[in-house]
Amino acid sequence: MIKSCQQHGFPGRGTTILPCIQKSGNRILIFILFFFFMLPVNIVIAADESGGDNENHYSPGLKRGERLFYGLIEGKFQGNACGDCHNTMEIDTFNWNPNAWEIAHKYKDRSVEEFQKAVLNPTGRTMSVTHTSFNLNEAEVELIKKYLDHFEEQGLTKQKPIINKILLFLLLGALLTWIVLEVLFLKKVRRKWILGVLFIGALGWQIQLLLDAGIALGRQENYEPDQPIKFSHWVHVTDNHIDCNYCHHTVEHSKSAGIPETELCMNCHIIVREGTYSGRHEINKLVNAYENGDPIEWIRIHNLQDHVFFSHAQHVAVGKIECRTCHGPIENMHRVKQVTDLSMGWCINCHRDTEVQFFENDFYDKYEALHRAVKAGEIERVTAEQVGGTECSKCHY
Amino acid sequence: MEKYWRSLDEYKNGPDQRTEKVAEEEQKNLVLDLASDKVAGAKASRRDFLKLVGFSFATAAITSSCEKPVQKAIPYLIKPEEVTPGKASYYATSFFDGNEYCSVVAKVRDGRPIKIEANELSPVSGGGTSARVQASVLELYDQARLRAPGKGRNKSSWEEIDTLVKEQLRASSSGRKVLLSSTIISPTTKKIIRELQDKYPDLEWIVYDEVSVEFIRMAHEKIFGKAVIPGYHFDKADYVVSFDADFLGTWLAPVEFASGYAKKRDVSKDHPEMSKHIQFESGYSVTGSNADERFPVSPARSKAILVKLYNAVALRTGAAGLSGTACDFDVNAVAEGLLENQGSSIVISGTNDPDIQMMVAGINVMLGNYGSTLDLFRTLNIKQGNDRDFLELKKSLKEKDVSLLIMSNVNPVFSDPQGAEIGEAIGSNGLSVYIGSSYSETAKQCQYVAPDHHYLESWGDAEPVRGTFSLQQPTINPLYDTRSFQDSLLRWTGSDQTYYEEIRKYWKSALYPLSGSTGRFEDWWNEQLQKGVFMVNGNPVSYKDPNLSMIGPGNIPKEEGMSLTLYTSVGILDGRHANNPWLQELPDPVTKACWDNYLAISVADAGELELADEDVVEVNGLRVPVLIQPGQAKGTCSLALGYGRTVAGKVGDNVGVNAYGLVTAEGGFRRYTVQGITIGKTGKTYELARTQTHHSMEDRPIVRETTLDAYRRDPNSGNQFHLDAESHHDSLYPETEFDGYHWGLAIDLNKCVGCNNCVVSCIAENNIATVGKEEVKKHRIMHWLRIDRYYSEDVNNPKTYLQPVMCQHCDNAPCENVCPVAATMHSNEGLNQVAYARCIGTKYCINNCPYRVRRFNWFKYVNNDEFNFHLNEETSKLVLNPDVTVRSRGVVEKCSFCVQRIQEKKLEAKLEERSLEDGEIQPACVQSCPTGALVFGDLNNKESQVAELKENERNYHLLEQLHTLPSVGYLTKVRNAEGGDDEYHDHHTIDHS
Repeated sequence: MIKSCQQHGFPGRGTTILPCIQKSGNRILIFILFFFFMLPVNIVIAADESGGDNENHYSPGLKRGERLFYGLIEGKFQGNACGDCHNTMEIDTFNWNPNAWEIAHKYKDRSVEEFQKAVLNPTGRTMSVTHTSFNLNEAEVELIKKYLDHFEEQGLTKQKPIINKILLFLLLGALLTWIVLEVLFLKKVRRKWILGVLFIGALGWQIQLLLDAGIALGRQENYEPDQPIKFSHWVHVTDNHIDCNYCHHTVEHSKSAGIPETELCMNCHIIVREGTYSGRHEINKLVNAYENGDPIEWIRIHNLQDHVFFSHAQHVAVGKIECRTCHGPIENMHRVKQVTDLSMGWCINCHRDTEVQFFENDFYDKYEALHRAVKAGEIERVTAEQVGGTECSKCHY
Repeated sequence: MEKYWRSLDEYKNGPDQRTEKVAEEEQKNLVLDLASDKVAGAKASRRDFLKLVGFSFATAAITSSCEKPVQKAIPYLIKPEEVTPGKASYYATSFFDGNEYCSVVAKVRDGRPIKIEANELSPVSGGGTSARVQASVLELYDQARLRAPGKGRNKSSWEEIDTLVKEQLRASSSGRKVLLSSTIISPTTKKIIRELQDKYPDLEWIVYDEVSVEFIRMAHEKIFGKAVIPGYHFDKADYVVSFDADFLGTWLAPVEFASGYAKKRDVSKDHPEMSKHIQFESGYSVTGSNADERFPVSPARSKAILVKLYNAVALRTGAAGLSGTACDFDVNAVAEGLLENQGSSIVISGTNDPDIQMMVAGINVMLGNYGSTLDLFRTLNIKQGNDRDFLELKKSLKEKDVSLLIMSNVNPVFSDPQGAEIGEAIGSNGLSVYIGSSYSETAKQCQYVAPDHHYLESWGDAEPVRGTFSLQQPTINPLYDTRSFQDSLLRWTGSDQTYYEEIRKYWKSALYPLSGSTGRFEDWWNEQLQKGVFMVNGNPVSYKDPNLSMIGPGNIPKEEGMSLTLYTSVGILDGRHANNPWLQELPDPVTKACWDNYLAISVADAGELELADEDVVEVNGLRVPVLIQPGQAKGTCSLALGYGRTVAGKVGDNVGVNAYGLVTAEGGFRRYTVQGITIGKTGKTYELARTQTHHSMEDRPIVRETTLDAYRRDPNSGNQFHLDAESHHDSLYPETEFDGYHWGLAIDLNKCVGCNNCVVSCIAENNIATVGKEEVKKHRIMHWLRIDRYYSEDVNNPKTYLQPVMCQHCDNAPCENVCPVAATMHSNEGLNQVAYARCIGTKYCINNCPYRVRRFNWFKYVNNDEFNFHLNEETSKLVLNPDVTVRSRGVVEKCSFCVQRIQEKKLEAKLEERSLEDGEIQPACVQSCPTGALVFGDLNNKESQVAELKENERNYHLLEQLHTLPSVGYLTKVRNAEGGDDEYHDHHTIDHS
């Protein structure tokens, strides 16, 4: 970094600047501020250039590869170009196609011939349809590979952070400060009631923001991360009619529903090697993981706090609760999303309303008083709450 | 009713002054040391408050917009068949640490053992464990474990060690080649050692015990012709006389003995019979506290009494007497009792003295106890150490005449009186290899260190009692690059078999034919693995007719000066588990001190020597703090062995002082009583951490007792107050009714021996933090279950009462209605529940609990290096029970009746669509209690054991006059003595206003 600064004629930071501050006044200070403001930009450019020079990557071929990838060269793609299906930026929406980085990563250490074969003569069903319109020769595919090798180091482009609640909160804070200053010192606004309204409004909004944030702390409703493998419950449950219990086979006798072991996936995928939407790429990941003995690191979506005890067996096998009651229409999800906030209020509400298998399950024979009450017609049904389902130590211990 | 007192201050000064002093002390301790004194002393200004408010607002805003860390869920690649994520598996296995045996069931959750349960099928350890066994699971994850073969502290390899050892074994050098091991009870291991010796005939095998009881075996050798330790059947003994044997706490096989002993202490209206237990001892042991009559006597006097008793029994049975000694003790009553129970009495001694052990055996012979209470057929295989062989080895080591020394699971550098010399000598001899699971004083001196498995990682078998076998199976893959001792031996023999294969081979060839099983061996083997234990009848053993002619009183020392008894404490025992924080923080059942050993001296001697508690004295060159122990025999003092380890690990290093140096040895035979010691004052003091005074219940009838005599006359005796209190239970409010279940616990104070097993079991089950000595001193120990100890009567020989106290789960709980945030409330099953997430730490509930069972988390004990025990280590944290929340700073916690176990069993019943059976749910304390003193169950079910016990005449509740309506009931203690407690009501008039 320092080296590149010196190349551009900037003085080293510690040596000359500090004495300057002592000698002269505001102008120097402004210069310094300006200098620091500019500094990161200079460094970034310098770093890019030097990196390019050293590794000999930033060549015209690479540039052409990039343009080919994005379909910027006329006549090469009739339909979608590579970049149209294989995103190079992080996206919120679900994309069945592997993103550019995944492809780049997969082919990084493989030969150009393999890549050429995969692009131009695909064997997979989806790819053989979409890739037919390509008008690329082998040299061009090689250039694309070159670009992808470069891209692999860079990674997906991060999305710029959107203006979030902190900024709003800080702005409101600034507004409040201004109102206080105005009232105490500046005294320019004549109609004081405007300030009053503004003050109450801004403060109220801030409090609302804090409350919302506080309540949502640790909750993640609508959480829908990308998984390492694009596993679709829709395809497996709705299209192929696989019972939930087949994969989540501990759900009826353990607290944990159980994420299926890779071996279980292979029961079917030893034969099924191509997906309806995903082609071969995703299933290949599974097969590779199984063959290499790497466990699959799924992203956990439904997270209860450590101090909550939850048992699937209790709810599914004993309480006869449907999966979708808590997990939503999971059979229609390509990518799993948390549909409930899993808050204690949500739990308790359900425990108040839900009937237990009071007459079917002999366990509840012990509750003699409740049985008497039902017989006498005092109550119609027995909810979880009535057998103690809303008490602390049923879930917290 | 006896007058009870809790500490010497209270005894001397009366309760009021004591309370004042404690209050003053507590006031001092109340200063928060959360920050430095300066900060604690400073006043918080309005400005600080605003700063805090601003800071917390900003933090809340920032944290809310930050993304939560991504959590991963990683499933198995190939799921092992027997593992269900989220569900525990149980494996029967065997605990044997070279000293103590116990058949256990390991609870394994998601692949890691987290709790030790008792194996109810075992004929040896019954349904019980000991505190040490409970704590052993933590040692699996101990940081001090050896992780890879080493040369000194540097890395080595198994190949290197194997090559060197084999070379040395083969070499025809002049030096001795020795395998030094702890007692080995595994028949397969013995076979492997024999095979190694067959291959290398000049290899000697020497067995070494850290604490020797060799004279028991020698006495039997002289009298019966075979060096054995007999089996002791306390369940058949109606009259027990023990001389300095702490058979309920530490002596030989305490779990087995306590279990048998308690069977004879089970008193009921239909069966008002119990054994009589006489204890002669110098220190105050937990066994002594259970005795019907306890006599504090010095070791010399104890021997004289034994001679007199021998003669009294000999006179009546027609045997030859011994030359009499002058002793003013009247043994007639004891002799009478023994003679009345010929064949159903038992006399034992814990002193390692040839004359004493011979006389004890002699008395038992005369009383015809061999064959009934003493078993020469099912003999004990533990404690096979040979002192003479070891003495020879010591000599050879000093003469540099050892070319190969392999040591397994022994620590003579620490536990031998000349340990330091041995340590130095090891280096100047030939190749030395240490085999063990953790680093130690001895390992430090050896050239090579060969790490052994922890018992939960290893295969194994055991024959603790002749004809009773048990299997040990791994419950987890070895965590580190370790190899079992037996596998090492097999490599050195040149065998390509593994230890597992050898065990199977042995069981197939030697035991399977004895089983009478006609099925396949594989099926039989699996069955044994599942049960963990196997018994054969075996061939009878022939002994020669008892020969009493060699018995003599020997030399009886004069009672001059002070005598010192070196004993093993219930928690630390011989010191091999010193790095276990659970055991270090376990208070001694009688002194209630932890994290140290100390010199216990009698009240009278302390007066004469002008010593106070915590004064540091010098005993034969060893500096040690004083603890004044009521009931300590005058002229004696006691000091625990096993402390003062220097190479044990971060917890056990430099805790207490090493008293092994005071052990005397004549001809290699180690003696644990030292006559004529000098006690020199040093003028220094040293604070001891005692849990004694911080659970004061202040002069109320907490422990109730009666005598067997009075109980026979009136089953309510000693418990009249219960009826009185019951009659006053009027309330404006309707009585709470529990539909469904109402959990309750009954504790039979007559069966509870105070062994501390439940305390550690509770710690392991409920993730209870270790707080360390400094915090214990500030009364901040976190144990949910404690054993209270009260003294009565005479300060020179008080009776001692032990009482387990946990949350009483009051149906009218004082703690519940003072909680400002409703964090503690009553469940519809009668549980007093705490929601930690809701607790804000006002501690109102602690202040309002009359039983002092609630604990406050003054600090975050997890991931906090200030509490450098086990909860700040990644591996040690694997021992945590995932079903129990780890509490954070600022919340109150207490016994939950193991609600996680209740819920687990309820769920099992629901899944099977059936009602719960009585006894199905067992909280941790109940499950492993060796005496069955605790009974848990449903009070609503009138046929349940606990409901029946609630109706028992002996049942009462703690502080029942307060109308707290506890769900825990206690059963009056009954001492087998004459007289009664008729004047009870005169002593205690309770004000009901």
